[in-house]
Amino acid sequence: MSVVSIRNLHYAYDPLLPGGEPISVLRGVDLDVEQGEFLSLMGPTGVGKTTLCMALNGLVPQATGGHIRGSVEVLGCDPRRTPVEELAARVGIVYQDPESQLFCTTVQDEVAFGPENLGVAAQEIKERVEWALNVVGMSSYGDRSPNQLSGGEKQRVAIAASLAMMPEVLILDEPAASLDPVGRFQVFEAIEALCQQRRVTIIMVSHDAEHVAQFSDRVAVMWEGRLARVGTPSEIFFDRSLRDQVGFAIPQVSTLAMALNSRYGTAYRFTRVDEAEEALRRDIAEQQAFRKTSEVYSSGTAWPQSASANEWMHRQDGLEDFGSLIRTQDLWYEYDATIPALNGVDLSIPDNAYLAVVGQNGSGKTTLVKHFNGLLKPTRGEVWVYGRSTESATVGELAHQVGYVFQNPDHQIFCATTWEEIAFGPRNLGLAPETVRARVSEALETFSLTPYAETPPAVLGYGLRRKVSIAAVYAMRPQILILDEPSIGLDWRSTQELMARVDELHDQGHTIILVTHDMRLVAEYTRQTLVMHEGGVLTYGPTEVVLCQTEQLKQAQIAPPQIARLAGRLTDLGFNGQALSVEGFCVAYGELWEGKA
Amino acid sequence: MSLMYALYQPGDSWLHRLDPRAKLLFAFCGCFLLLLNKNLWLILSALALTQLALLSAGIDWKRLAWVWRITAPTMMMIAVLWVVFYPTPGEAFLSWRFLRIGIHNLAEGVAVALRIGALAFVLFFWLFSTDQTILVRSLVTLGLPYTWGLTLAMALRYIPTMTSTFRMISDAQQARGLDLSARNPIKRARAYMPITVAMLITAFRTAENLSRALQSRALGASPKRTFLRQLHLRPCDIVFMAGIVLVAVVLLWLRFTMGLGAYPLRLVG
Repeated sequence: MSVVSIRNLHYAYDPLLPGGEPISVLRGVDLDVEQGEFLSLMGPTGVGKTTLCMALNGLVPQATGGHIRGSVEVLGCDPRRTPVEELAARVGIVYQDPESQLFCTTVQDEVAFGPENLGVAAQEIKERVEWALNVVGMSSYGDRSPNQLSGGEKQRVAIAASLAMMPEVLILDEPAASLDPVGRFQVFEAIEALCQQRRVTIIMVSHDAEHVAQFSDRVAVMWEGRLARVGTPSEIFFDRSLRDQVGFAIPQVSTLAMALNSRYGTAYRFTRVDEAEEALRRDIAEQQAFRKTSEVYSSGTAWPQSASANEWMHRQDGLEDFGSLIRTQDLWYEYDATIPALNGVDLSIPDNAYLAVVGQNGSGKTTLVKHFNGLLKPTRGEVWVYGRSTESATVGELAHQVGYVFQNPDHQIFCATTWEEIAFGPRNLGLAPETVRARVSEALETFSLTPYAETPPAVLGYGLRRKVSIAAVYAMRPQILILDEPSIGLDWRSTQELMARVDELHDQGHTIILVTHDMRLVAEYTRQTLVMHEGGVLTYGPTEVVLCQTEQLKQAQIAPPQIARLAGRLTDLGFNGQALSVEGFCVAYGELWEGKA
Repeated sequence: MSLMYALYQPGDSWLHRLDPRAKLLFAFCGCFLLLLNKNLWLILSALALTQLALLSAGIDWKRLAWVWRITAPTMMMIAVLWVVFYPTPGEAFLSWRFLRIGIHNLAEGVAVALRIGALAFVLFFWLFSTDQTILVRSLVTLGLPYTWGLTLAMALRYIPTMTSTFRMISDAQQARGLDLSARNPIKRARAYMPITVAMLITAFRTAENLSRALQSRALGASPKRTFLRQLHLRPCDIVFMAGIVLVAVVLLWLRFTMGLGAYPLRLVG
């Protein structure tokens, strides 16, 4: 039985500026969702996924205005006419940003807020709160303030708050997009618990292909305002033409399967690590048994030892030897007198490095990199950039050499036009007007923002605002570019485009520092990786070495990307530490298949 | 610091357990009496009393220091202006042109300035020990519409969030070369423009998201809203409230019959 039925749904937002054209977002959506189904919605940023979700709970068009036509039916109601607050009892929604959906002082009050609004009796509210917190694994957090919770915990509270209203349909709009790996894990664990209970129909918007594959019964891919295809995860992820057309993320193991299929004529269609392990283990074991190459088994793991990274770290000591661009010595930083955010970091970053800084929230990543552009000054110790101590340099002076792109674009957008926004940084550097014009034009072109040059950046969609914020720093031409979570809020194709630009900058000799939780980005792009843990450096070295240090990564609560995990599970078959990328894995696979390993 | 802006300090002291309506009555009566008072000794007593009460309830001394810190500039400004614009009526120990400073206007200036601190502490007596849900609940029981109480609670809830957003915006703009070091106040104000505008845009966006979240959580769905946490006046709350009313009536009577609190240094007329 369909709980959601959409036919030929069209929707356009009102024009952004007086006299402008309405912004058409949905252009003929047709969708049916069955009771108890888990449907994931994928597609590029700005394609209309959130608008579609809001059309299901009535916010579109009741709160947003605009023009709607076609039909929508959710649980037998028409969301266009049923008041949002009335429909909220049956259709729950969890948004991406936990900060703007938690407004009470305790977790318990937060979860009780919905049932209270529905006029549920106090005793029943109490029972619902206990149940909902139990489902998301937050039973012991009832008296805590949401302010004191981590991102993952906040989002779990938001899910519990929706659940307590006993919705029949739960919409999750990128529920884990802004979270660190532990936060994501916690949220997806809560979603898994929900799936097991199977009380609700779930519609989840997500760019996270790995989890989409893990949970979804079906995946719907949106493109140009309509659904390009709806199918099982395997059907969607192995539809190459659809992927080429739309450009959405697919699980790394599915990319691997396609690479193996095209190179070795296999017919793999795995979308999850366990499926991949099972299929590869079976096939390789059969082949190895056939060849009786028992020595492959006895050779054991060829994973690089952790000493390699440590030796590499020690080699960094000599500034001159290594041509260090940034160097820290016994760097301590304290926000207050309680726990130091950094405790004696010694680090040397070479010129033209392509460095990933990873670690959990609160591990000191951002505190460390804020020392590189002088936003923070050491409580103790010293930081040198280009051989100059940052102690005596202002942020403005360091901005000539160090560009910093913050995670949230709204923290820097303030100008009346995109052109002005991008020109702000170069002007602050005191560049001549013609140089500023040239730089802005180039940045607009590089990031495909030329059509929006005269548009106020604040009214652009999130993906475009993110591009504006990056272009604004790019136009300053810093020798060192720090990007804080570059992939958050961007779809797969935009991320690829952005990273292609970043790669070009690196090839031109710039030093790139990525602060990120996206381990796939780390594995596929960076050359060096620095793992921060509890304010110190846990390990630092070449990325392919660090990603093999399973113990250290576990200690820092970082999950390696899918292929690294798969290779780790298959070490007994002879996979080695180079099998961290699709290409590396294919090579290792070929060698094993042919008995060379 | 951000937790400081959250105002409420969780705890289970006598003050935390006290019914919020009793605390609200104390705050209301305290403010009213303080505004009728400019006696230095009584204001110092009120300051000592509220601070002792807060400390006895386990409120962190850092919070009290924070109240002093945020009210100090206003207090200093009031004290100075008072002394400058209200020449002392009696003997002056400093006289220059229109400026006449004597013990009378000096004491009065200090008293009026400290009254700001005392008013703040009386209000924080209520806010430091009452979480926002209960605060709203108490205002609703006193007849305030729920949405008004919720608005007040959310304004308090978002103070720490906005403070941290301000810091992040300031960092992001400085990283693009914005210079905030200007000493000239006009130049400084202009330098803060990018931060102010970005802050406003962020605040509007947060408000929009918040309103959607509130609607999605069924705000206004039922004409009769229920509450998980119920308020019950205990006998000790009633005694406390009666005590407050009694003390307030006595002080008022003394104020209007004997002039208690009407003079900066003398207790009565």
